[in-house]
Amino acid sequence: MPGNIKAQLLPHSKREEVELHRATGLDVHAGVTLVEVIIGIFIFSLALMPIMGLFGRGSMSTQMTGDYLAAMQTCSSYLRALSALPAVELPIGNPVPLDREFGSLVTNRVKIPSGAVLNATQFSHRLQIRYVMRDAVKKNLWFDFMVQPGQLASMTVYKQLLRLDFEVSWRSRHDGQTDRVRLFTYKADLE
Amino acid sequence: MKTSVSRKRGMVIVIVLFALTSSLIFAGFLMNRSVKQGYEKIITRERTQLELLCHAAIEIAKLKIKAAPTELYTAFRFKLDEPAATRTSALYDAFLADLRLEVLDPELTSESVPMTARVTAIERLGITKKGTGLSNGYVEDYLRITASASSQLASFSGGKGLKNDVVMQVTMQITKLERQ
Repeated sequence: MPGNIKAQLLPHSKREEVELHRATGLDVHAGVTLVEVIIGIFIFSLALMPIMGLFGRGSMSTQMTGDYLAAMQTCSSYLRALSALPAVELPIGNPVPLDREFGSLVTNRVKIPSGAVLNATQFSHRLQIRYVMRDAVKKNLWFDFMVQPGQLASMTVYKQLLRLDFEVSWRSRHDGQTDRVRLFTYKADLE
Repeated sequence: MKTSVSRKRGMVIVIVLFALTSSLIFAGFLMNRSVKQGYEKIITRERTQLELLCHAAIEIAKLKIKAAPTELYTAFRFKLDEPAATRTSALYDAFLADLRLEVLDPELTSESVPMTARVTAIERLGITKKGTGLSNGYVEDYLRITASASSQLASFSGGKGLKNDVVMQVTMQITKLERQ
């Protein structure tokens, strides 16, 4: 039985301990001393500091990625919502005043705030809408095509194509600098 | 003789080193994951931007079709319906030639990340429905627009670079008046 074997191996008296020590060289009282434990804890804590720094950096990086993705999602969703509106309801401006609703239809309306707090981070929004101009003097937009083989023509579509830039900025948790995400799209006046 | 004590002495160091190595490996794994997350967010941003540009290219194609429907159908006719001797895709190619965002908006070329977006095809699906309810001569036709957008990040993940491509297709209905 294992219990009996264990009992047989354990010393029962000082004399038996001495005999066991002489026979095997093992000191039944030998173990980790307090000095060793203190030294171990000291080394462990010294080495743990940079390692904890790595943990903290990983955590910080995850938070920063979260902020970035939140900003990108904000840009994308507002640009898609604005693109769904008729072009005539998109005001030209740099920047376009926010904190108001865009769109006249109850069923197709979007409210864009000038800022928002997401996951304890303050985000600021900026919207720019302008007409797209094809020429260098920025006065016109046109399309080219052929009406007959070899016969080129063009047609002006002045002020019928808009460019929408949406920028979200926030203060980085890492270095306190301002980070930015900007996405843009184009919207044609098809009405 | 105290040989037994020296056998156990130093075990704490081994245990501490083992714990530290384990922690270091785990911290390295977390760091590696966070670095990959950093790359992932850039990739996601690029793809989102390219999706928006594909939408924009399709929007611009609709604008051109609305502005010049006769010219588009003339291009289709010369490309598909004319006798072999007079058949040409020059009109069709000319129609698509400026359906590129970098052509229509020269400011696109000044973006920090080089990107392009264009309409690659406008196809006549051949599904024509007569009797639209408008009046005689009007027919409904269906067109398929294909747009593609791409970007090239030069310095990415150790200078390897990153190329992103997005292709989008949309089928649209057009109501047109056919000449008798």
